[in-house]
Amino acid sequence: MDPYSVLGVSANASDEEIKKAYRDLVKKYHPDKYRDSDLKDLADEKLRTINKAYDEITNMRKNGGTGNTNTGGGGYTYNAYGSAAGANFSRIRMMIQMGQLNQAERELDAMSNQTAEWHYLKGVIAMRRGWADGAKEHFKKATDMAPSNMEYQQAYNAMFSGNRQYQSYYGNGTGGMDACSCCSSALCADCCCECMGGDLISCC
Amino acid sequence: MFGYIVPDKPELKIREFDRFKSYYCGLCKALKKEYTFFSRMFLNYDCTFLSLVLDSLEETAPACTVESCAFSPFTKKCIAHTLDAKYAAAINVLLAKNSLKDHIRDEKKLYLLPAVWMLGGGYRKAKRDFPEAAETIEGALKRLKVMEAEKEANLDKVADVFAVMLSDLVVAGANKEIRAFRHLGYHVGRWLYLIDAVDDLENDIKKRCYNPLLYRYVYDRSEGPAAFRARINEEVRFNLYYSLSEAAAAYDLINMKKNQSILTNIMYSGLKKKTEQILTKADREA
Repeated sequence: MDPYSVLGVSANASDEEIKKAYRDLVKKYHPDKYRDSDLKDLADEKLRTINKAYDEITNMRKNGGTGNTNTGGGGYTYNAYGSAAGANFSRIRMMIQMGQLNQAERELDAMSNQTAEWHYLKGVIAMRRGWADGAKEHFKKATDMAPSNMEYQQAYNAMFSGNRQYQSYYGNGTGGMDACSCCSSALCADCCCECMGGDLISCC
Repeated sequence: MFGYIVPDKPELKIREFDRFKSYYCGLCKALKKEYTFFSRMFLNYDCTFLSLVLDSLEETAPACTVESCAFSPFTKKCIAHTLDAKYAAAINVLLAKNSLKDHIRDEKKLYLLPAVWMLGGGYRKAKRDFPEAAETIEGALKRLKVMEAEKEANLDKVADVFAVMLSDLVVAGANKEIRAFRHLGYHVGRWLYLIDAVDDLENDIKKRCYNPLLYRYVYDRSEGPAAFRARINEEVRFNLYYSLSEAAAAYDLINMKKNQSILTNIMYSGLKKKTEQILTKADREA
């Protein structure tokens, strides 16, 4: 497919325009936006196509210069399920990851002890179903019970970040760059660079 | 529970607005042609949105004719004839009659009875044309009725019934890119159910009808509608925007061949403005 049409620019667009189109698209399909979504793989696929197209264009323009040709995407990896406490919980996490939500929920409901992790997992299940109200309650309880746990905190915060992103888009979010979008663009660009083996911001 | 899915008109280009209207008129004409003249009275924006979304998957622009109609006999209008208009029209009739029946049952609006009766013919034909869609709708509304009778307090669970229904209807109409459409349909449906609940809040309190928000956030009669609305505002806003952002994320993944600027306007701006308008309704009225 024509890399220019992937980015939605004309073949004689300036480097600046291409970079902007690329950044906008990366923001649109950013893994953070599809965190915990069952459409994540579709978004990743889009992102890969976009990265490839951008690479192709920059390489073409540099005429075989020093461009980064490493497109084999390790991509964004999912790291939410890192620490597993009990054997039960890790089994339930596996079930959730495989999409067996009903079974995972039955196992959770059968437990008598409602720990922070229990609430967290209930929240993840609710979120997978799109049941935001319940998910938020459970994440809230998990963070209240274990305030230092980053995983729970992150899940709770992520529920709001999608909303904020949506609310800032279109109409009031398109005119220029504010401090927040500037930072997030830089972070996006950094993520993408890292996807492809490079690095933009060395500390993260 | 209809008419919430609208574009943000001031942000539309004139040609986009014309395109939107041509789908609206196209749906209206399809209603008349397929499901009796009377069914046009129940034409709504939500089904126009359905028609726009489904047709966006087709490569070619819809055939347009310029016609006048009974509602505007002196100005001729551009009418889009699309493949999916009949499906959207059937959904329109099926939902309209069921919602009318709900109004009569819940609010005792007996004067609506003749309308139900007059929609009967169109309804039966829509059911014959799309038996699965009719079954989806009737089944979901039956489940909702049971939950209403039980005074269900789990907001996610009630909204889920309506969301799954809409999701099934959208997927059946689209037939491709099923996963993104399922997600889009689910969250637009969830948003619709919730926004309708917020919109009807004062009315339901007054008429002592079921409204999931009253049970989810435990309404106390001594509290009064205005204070209750203020108390739950942030929670409700979170839920509405959560579904909108999920719907928009799914929408972004669909490979549309056309209508994209109008649909983006609806998804990112029209629905947002509608949400704000309904959330701040009480303030405006006070």
